[in-house]
Amino acid sequence: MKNSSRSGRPDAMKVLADARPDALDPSRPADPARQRTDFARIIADTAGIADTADFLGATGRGHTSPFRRRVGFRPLGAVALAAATATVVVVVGASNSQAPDGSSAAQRHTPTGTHAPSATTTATVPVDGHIELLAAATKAASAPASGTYWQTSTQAEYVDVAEAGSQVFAVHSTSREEWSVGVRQGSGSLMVSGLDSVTEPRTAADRARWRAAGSPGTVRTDVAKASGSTSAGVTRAYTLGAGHPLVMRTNIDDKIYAVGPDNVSYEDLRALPSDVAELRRHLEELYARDNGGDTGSGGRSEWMLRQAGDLVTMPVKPAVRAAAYRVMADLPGVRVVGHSTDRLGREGVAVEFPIAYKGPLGTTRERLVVDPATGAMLSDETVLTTPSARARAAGLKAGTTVDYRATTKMGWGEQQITVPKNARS
Amino acid sequence: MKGAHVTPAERFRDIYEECYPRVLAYATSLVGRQAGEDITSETFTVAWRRVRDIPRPALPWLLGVARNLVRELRRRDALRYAVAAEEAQRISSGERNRSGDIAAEVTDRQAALHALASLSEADRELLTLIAWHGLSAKEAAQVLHCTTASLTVRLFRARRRLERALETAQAAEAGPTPAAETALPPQHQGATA
Repeated sequence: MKNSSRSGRPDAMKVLADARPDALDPSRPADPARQRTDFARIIADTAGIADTADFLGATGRGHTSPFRRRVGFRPLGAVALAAATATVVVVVGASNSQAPDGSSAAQRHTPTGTHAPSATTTATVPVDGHIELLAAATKAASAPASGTYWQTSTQAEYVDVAEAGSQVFAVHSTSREEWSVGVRQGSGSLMVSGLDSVTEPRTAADRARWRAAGSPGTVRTDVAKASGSTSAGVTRAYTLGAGHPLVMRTNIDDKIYAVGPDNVSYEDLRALPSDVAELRRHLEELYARDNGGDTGSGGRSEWMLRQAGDLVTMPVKPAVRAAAYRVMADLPGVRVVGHSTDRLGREGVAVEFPIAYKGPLGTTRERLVVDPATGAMLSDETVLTTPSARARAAGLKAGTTVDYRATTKMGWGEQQITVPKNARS
Repeated sequence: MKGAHVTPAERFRDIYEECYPRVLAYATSLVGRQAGEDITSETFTVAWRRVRDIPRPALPWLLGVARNLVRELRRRDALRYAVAAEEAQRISSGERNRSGDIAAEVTDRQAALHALASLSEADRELLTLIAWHGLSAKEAAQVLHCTTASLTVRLFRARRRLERALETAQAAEAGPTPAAETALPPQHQGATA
């Protein structure tokens, strides 16, 4: 509007519209990092429990969703919009001691024969498992260099408590997932989840209770007071039986993974520092950016462990993978539990997250299982430490793995994966 | 990629992508940028929980949620709200980078903003929903939880008051006394709509 408009009595609404302060112009870009992290947090966190798979349209078809439930799980990379950094940060802050690199210690020790000192509660004192983790780091440093598609195959299960009639019992869903991330120009990234997915009563006893309830095809789970963050109750239905796979493109142009608050390209990944101190500093910076001014205890370790664990499963340089293990080993508050067997029966060391979470099933703690002999990330699992009354009623005991995602294959391939005919997008 | 079947998560993602900037702009107009980002985040948290209830188009519904969250903030944390509303106030009164603007345009904008500031909160809210946030009368009615008919009446009156205020403000801006940074309106003391 110019002077002429004043004498010409323009429409008042137009005058007002033209006067909109620039700060309120929706075409001005929002903070993309904030937008993305919010998205990830909302998708992964709000409902507290498995209803995310439900929201994904997988109602009870038992496929695990890439939007993992509860605290996020691992890099989803960029899902169309934006990308759930599946790393959802929960608490925060903590001082970080600059522990020594420790690679020499790793070389001095063999990965076998050590025993988990189960009473270790602080991780500032290196324990045997700790050293094994460093052994994993040295192994991880030698791996094939490059290809077109970085491919991971995982097998997953999650357990929940369901109701039908007056019966309370545990159900579990199992499925496989193939994720193939193209790192060359135009190669594209696909994730097919929910392969061979089945949802059924967990044990024979659970099956008996389900039968006693009349063998319903759909059972409900009431998540009245989920993880504390959610006030509203969430009810989720599981349809028992087999489910459909879901296919999803996971890149946005050349952005193929999420690292902290950022979507990154293959070039970005290859540029990550392989020096332990530098990688730690890099992750700390991302953490600071991802978490603003929040403070707390254990949160930073939690976040750093998640990120470092994620990096290990990405096509980073082998030296970066090794550095990531060393970062993990040095995190304050992170407990390395020595020998542990993952749900597929493979032996490794367990790295426990510092923070326990309360969910509908009770108190749970996540851990990563790493094979020190090969440097491979075996599995990411959630163990029930204190079952809730509801979980106990369904026969879930302390020590039950209520959620896991085990990597069965990880490496380079030259062909994009095929999408099954019955997959939905 | 996009078949007939859209899962709730995909729908949420689409809504998020499409509406985030507009929800943020609206929230910013109420509580400033920083609190606005928080309100936006909370708005979409609610949206995700209630993804199956979101009508089409989603925007008016989302703005209604954001509006409620701001009211809740005002109730729950009066101090934080006051600080946030003050920032919103600064933004809405046109404190901005003027370097790129032509002087006459600045004057017109300032006049319009002063005119707006002289109106009641209810009028301002209604007028800006339409003029700044791009809603139709029907959509604004959804945000304000009233019928389209009563909104039309309110809008008609608010517009009349805006026109009068514009005349006054333009006269003042054009007049001999430099009217820059005159009294700011008591926006955050809050008559409710």
